[in-house]
Amino acid sequence: MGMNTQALITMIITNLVVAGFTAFFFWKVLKTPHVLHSEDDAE
Amino acid sequence: MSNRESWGSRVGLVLAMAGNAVGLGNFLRFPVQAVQNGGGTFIIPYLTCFLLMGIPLLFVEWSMGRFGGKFGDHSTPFILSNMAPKKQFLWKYVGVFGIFTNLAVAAYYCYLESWTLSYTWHSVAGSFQGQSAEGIANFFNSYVMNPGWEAFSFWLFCLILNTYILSRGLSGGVEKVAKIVMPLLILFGIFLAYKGLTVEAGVDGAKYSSSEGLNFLWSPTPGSSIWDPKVWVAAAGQIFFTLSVGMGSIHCYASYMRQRDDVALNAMSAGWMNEFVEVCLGAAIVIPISVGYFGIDWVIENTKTGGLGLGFRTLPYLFQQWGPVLAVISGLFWFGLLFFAGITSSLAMGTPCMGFLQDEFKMSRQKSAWTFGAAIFILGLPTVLFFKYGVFDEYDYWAGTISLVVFALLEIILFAWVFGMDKGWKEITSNADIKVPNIFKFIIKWVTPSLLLFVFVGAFFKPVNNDWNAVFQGTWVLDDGSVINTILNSGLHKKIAATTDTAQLEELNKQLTFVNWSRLLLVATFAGIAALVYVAYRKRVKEGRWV
Repeated sequence: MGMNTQALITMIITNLVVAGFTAFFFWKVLKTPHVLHSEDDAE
Repeated sequence: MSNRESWGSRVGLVLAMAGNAVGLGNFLRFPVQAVQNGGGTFIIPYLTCFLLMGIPLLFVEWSMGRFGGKFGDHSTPFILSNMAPKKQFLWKYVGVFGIFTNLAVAAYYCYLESWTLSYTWHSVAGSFQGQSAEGIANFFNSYVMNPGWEAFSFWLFCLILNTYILSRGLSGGVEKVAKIVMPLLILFGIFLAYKGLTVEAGVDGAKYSSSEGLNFLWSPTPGSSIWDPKVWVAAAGQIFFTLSVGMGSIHCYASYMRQRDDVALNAMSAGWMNEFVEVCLGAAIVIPISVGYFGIDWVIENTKTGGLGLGFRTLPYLFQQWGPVLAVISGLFWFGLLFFAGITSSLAMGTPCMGFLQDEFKMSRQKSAWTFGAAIFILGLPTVLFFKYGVFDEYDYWAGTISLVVFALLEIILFAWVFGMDKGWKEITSNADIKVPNIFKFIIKWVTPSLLLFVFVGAFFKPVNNDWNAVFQGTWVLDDGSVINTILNSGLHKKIAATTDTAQLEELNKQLTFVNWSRLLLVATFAGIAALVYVAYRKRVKEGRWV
């Protein structure tokens, strides 16, 4: 027996939304890498 | 000796923050909360609470941490007091929560972490091979209820390992571990999720296919409603605990950033990464596998007391059904994954205490790490030796649950109302690498504090069977798990009153004594940290650092 339609839709949409946002924000972090601390950091 | 710790890279910081949030709860608590609160119905309140409470609290804690770092503060007592007018001297004592919680949670969490390490070893050594389901369940009960040298040694090893990594510093210890462990955790999780999603009825002894478990998890449970307050209290609670907010560890990690670094994108990335591990991986392992072998009714019955039982008593047995090789691999991956999730969290608990000792008492990194280790040893030993008398659960309830909600509620009041939302908004958005929607200004000021109050009141006045409709109908009876009845030990008193067996009565009376002593120990720990904060404050005044 496979999954019922309602469960399948809820699972797929939720997983896509969560995985999509995770990938998007992590990709943005990778695209704008900052060296977080350096000796020349003037506070 | 000044505190000149720093992060080596942005990715390292984000992975360490995500590792701080990802814990055993992602795999053991979330799926159980979901099945207990309406299955598919749970997910909408859950994601809504993530947007309205989780993300705002992440923004607030990250920006408070970076703000504190500007003044050289790396722990919450002085981060908080710097955000309030100087005459409001009590804020530094509110900040005590940010050290106390980490210390007390690390004390029992280290023991939990040691179980996962021990089970990893036993999985590889083949200790579970050929054992019955009952045999494996008994193994766990005996391991935690009557800890022998093995349990003690694994606990001590975990404690020393944590302390050693902490003594290596942020970039040399915590960040290095996060960079190795987080990708491995996701890899292990994907493998187990694949196994969970491909359980087939009639294959390897499974009675049902994984679709049964997934239907159970993702379909709205008949009779459940999205408007049921119980579902919202559970969803808000889950979001709160999964993100490690209200602990002080996020403030501490963020305080080692530069002022010109972004907090908005980093916070979003770490927060969503935690959600990925919880929703996409956590939901695909324990429930589909357990339902596949035991059926829905069994799982409902066995998740009533939480997810630990499924994770430690059931899964090692089920892995054996997949043959000796896959049993070893799956056991190694499952308990290894839990261990990785645990250690990245426990390391985050060490840094606020170390930051405080380094900032205020000029301790070296190594000395502060070993002082933290010694404190964990003293505070954690009762959780190992007297687990069966409820010491572990007391720590978890007061330090790992109630303190978090109290601290988060007070810190957001400080941020939005005392420090001021305009200044707070500037802290969140300055140097941001993403545009933060303006609606969050309103959410942080009004919605998040209201939701936190909702969670707090929910814990304080929890009705029997979580039946919040009874509150509105005026037929409300306090649950023994509510804060009020917990303080009064009403559940234990009821058991004592109902017991006629002398031996059992003696055990229950012992439990009552241990529960009360645990609370006293926690109160003494809080008072001790508050006294240290006072000493640090006087020191600052004397040295002219209190302006």
